[in-house]
Order: sequence, then C-alpha cells, then structure tokens
Amino acid sequence: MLARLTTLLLLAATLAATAQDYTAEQLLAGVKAARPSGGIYARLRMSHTPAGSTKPEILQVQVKRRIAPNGHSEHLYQLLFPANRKGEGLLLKISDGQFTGSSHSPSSGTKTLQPSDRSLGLFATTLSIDDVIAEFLDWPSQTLTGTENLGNIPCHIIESKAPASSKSTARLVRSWIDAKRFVTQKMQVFGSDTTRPLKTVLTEKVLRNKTGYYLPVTFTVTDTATGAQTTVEGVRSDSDLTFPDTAFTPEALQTLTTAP
Amino acid sequence: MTLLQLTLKNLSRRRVRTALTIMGIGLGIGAVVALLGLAWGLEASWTDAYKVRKTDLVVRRSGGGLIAQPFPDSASEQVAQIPGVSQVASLLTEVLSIESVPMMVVSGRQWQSFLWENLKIVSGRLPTSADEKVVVLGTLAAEMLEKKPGDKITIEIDEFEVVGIADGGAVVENGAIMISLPLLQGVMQKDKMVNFINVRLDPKSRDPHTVSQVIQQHIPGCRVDIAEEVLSQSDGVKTFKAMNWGTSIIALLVGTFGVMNTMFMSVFERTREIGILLALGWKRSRILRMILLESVTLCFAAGIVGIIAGIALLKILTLMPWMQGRIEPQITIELLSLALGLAIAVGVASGLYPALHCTRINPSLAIRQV
Repeated sequence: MLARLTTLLLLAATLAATAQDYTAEQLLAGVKAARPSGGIYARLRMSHTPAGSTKPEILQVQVKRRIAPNGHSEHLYQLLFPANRKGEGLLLKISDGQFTGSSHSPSSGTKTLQPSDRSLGLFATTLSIDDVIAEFLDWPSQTLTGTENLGNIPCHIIESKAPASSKSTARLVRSWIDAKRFVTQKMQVFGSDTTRPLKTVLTEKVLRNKTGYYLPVTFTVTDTATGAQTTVEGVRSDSDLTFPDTAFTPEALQTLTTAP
Repeated sequence: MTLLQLTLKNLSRRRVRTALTIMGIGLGIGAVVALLGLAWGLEASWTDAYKVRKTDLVVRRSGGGLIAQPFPDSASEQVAQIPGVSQVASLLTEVLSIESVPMMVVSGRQWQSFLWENLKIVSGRLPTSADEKVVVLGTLAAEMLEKKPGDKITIEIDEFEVVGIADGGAVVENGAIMISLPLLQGVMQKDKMVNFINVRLDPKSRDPHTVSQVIQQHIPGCRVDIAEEVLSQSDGVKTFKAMNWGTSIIALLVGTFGVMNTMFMSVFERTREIGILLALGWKRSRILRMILLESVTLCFAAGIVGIIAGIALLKILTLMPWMQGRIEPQITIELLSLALGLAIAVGVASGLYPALHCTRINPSLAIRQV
C-alpha cells in the first residue's frame, strides 16, 4: 500500500515537474512552430476607441504577408472601410534587420516611410507599425522569469530584451505564454523606461487552425498612457499562398486586389 | 378546508423561504426557456428560410459547419437532370464582416432562379441583370447597416449600390445581403463555385428521401438534406442543442435539490403537526398527497416565474447585435408547456422523498416531539 502511494506521489511529482520545467527555448520553439509561414491573406476588423472617447471607430483591413525563411518579411496592409479612407495602405518590409516601407493615401499619394515612422499607429490605431513587424520572440535575449495564471490559464512569463542594434521602439517585452497551447495570452511592451509599459496586448479569443496549431484571433492593444484601445479581430484568413513579387511594391499599394 | 387550501396555508407560513425556493427553481426553469428558445429558434430561423423559398432539398458538400465548403456549380446541371427534380437554384453563401457589422450573411443567388421569388420589395427595386453591380438588403440588414436605396456598400474590396430593401419572410433572409451569384463569386474569387444547391421537387414526384438518395448517388461527396432537416442534421446545431439541454438539466437538478431541502425542512418543522393529523385519523396516503401537492404547487409557481424570466431574457438577447439577423428565439406553446411540465416533474421528484418520510412517522412519538 505504502509502496503504491509512494509510486503515485512520485508520478504526480514528475508530471507536475514536466508541466513546469519548460525552458525559454522550448516555449519559444512552440510559439514559433504555430506561426503561419509563407504567403498569408487575412481580413481583419479593427475597432479603435480613441482616448477619452466611448464610441469606437470600425476599420476593415486586408493584410497580405510573405515571410521568407531567412527572416525577410513583407507586409501589405490596406484599408477597405470606412469608405472615406478606403485605399489607404502601408507596405512594410524587413530585410537583414532593416526596415523600409511606404504609405499610401488616395488623397495625398504615396510616401516613403522613415525608420522613425515605426512608432506610427497602423491607420492611426493603437497598434503600431513596430508591433506588426518586430518579432520580439526572435530577439537573442530571452529569459523565463516566472509563471502566472491569467484567469484559469497557467502561463509562463518570458522577457525579451531588444539587442542594442535593434531599431524597434520597444526595449523590453514581457510575454505571458500559455504553455499548453503555445499561445501568447498577454504582452507588455516597454520603452526605455522598463518600469511602466507603453502598451499592453491581451488575447481574447484563440482558435485552432487547419494545421492543429492555436493562434490568437482576437486581441486588444491598450496604450497605457492615454487609455486608447484597439481590438483586432481576425475575420478570415488563408495561408500557404503564393504571391507574385509585384504584390509587395509601391504600385501594388495603390491598388486593391484580393488574395491570389 | 380543502387539501389545496391547506397546502397554500402551509406554504404561506414561511413566506421568505417559499419565495426564495420559487426564485431558485424559477431560475432553472428560466434557463430552460431561454436556452431551448434559442436552440429551437436557431433551427426554425434557418428552416423558415427554406420554407419561404419553397425549397424541398438542399445539396451541399459533406462535412463542414453551417456554411458548407464550396464545390463546382456544374453539379447543379447534374441535379436538374435527375427525375423528380422540378427546379434547381445555386447559392454561394458567405458570412462576412461588412462595414461596421461584425458578421453578416451575404447570399449570392443564381440569377433568375426561384431564390429571388420570395423577396417582397419594401423600397427600391430588384436588380435588372446578373451583371448589374448592385445589392438588395433584407429589412433587418438595412437597419443594421443603416442603408437605404441609393447608398453605397463595401463588400470586401468592391463597392456596390443598394437598389432595394426586401422582406424575405424569414429572419435569416431579412438579415442578409442578396446579390447575384456571379458578382459574389467575383468578390470572393470563387469563380463558378457554389456551396448550396436548392432543389424544388416535382409535386408528382417520388418522396424526397428517394430523390435525395438518387442525387447522392449521382454526385459523389455531396450530402442531400430534406429542407426542414438541414439544421437538425448539422453537427454544430446538434452540439449547441446538447449543450443547452445539458445546462438546463444541471440547472433543474440544482433546483430539485433546493426544493427537496425546503420540503424536508418544512416536514421536520411540522413533525408534531403531522403526528396529530395521523392521530386524528388522516390516512398516510392523504399526508403523502398533501406534501406532494405543496412541492408541486411550489414548483408550479416557480414555473410561472421561470417562464416570465426566460421570456424576458430572450427579449433582451434579441436586442443584442450578434443575434440580429441570425436567430429569432422561439417562444412557442410547446416550449412553455415543456417548461411548466418540467416544473411539475421537479415538484414531484423533489417532494416524493420528504412525503414518503412523512408517511413513516410514528404518531405517538411525533406528538411527544417539542
């Protein structure tokens, strides 16, 4: 009887240790494996509530994204609604860690983006250009700092420190990762002041995709200084698409086309 | 004094306890009314759409959820050739986020098919050709999108003119955007693809089950449902209904134990009184009837409270944006009778054990109890 009890306790302790003993690398590998690669088309519905306002502004956005295995990435964000802003767009590229891009508005034409424009809000929302292009979990310095339950979800906390060479506006990012589903449930993005986050990102809805991985489909970005909020909701998406090179050019930015 | 009068008097002795018990079981019954009203409403909302279109059979691809996966439109020509089939109409249905509305049904309908016949124009007009870049909005869709004839509407990257507002005769039709099939196929980049074929049978034809089997044999990988059964056969709806029943049963079980507890307390408090009644010559069966009647009366009152609460909750839910145009809750006589029947059943179930306990009371011992 005592032997059985001891075996059971040992088994329980082993299982508990297995659940807890993730390294930062293991967690990051899990999260990265879930990331869709290749060509992706997504339709987003963004609900932006400016600081001091209660009435949200609704934006319908289409996204085309292409990620190459060598870390190069190209992103095309185009606004479909509201009608008076239809056609506004952003072309963002990361190549060898360098950011280039263009913005387009039917009224003011196409402009080249500067590295300092990374902090600009995507279509004037709380979600910034930097948030969509910087892969915080790819930074070399990743430390597992603890665990915390978010609601009833046990999460591991990872701190990502920006390398000195990084042009990102974020210097430190704290991510709460659900180790069961490898989904980032919460993020705090810090600037040079690492005591007060610039913004927080909270995942509200997670769905399992066709390949069996879980992905956040609805999340809210809050500017902690102003209280402005943007909720991003994934309406539909299509992956493993092949985009022609012309899909990520300033000319493509000026025309609206759907997924190939 | 009749047994009923005695029952009411007993229940009114402890008014707060009675009221709280009624509230407890009433909430359970309210949950039954609200959850089943929603589940039945979901089924009826979509079935009504097929009824108003006078569709007998629905052909779709096997598997998938409420909105089926697309397949080539050429299948409709094959279906039209099958004996017993009178008319076919292809449909591409998409659920899209349109302008400020999070989710809306966009229904691409085969031009000049019977799918346009049920639309009664309230204002404006119907499209004049399949290529005319216009849409017709259901009355509810027009309200949600705040559009009128002449306004522009953006569907994905394309802009269309609203030419008419129509009453489709069913909540799903009224909550939808109606557009000609080739236009929606163009918008969604699904050239010559559809996800439903609506079939009308020849009135003189064989029964729908036989025709549906023939269609299934002719078109591999397809599934054919009798229009009234489309929703009840859906895995998603089955799960939704099972969840609603599960939640309702849990709520009722909690209520049953609550009433049983109340009845036991009431019986223990009246042990001496019941002993006197037995000593005076009351039959044990009459004591059993009295306790059961108390429990049933309590639950009947709770049933009425629950029905009122359930209806109120459904009315509130109907006002929610995510409900509009998709589900019209069903508050039917069947549902209300079921709720009241369940309340009475709970009354019998929860009162039976305390009542049986009473019949075993020894009058001489009970009278001596202080």
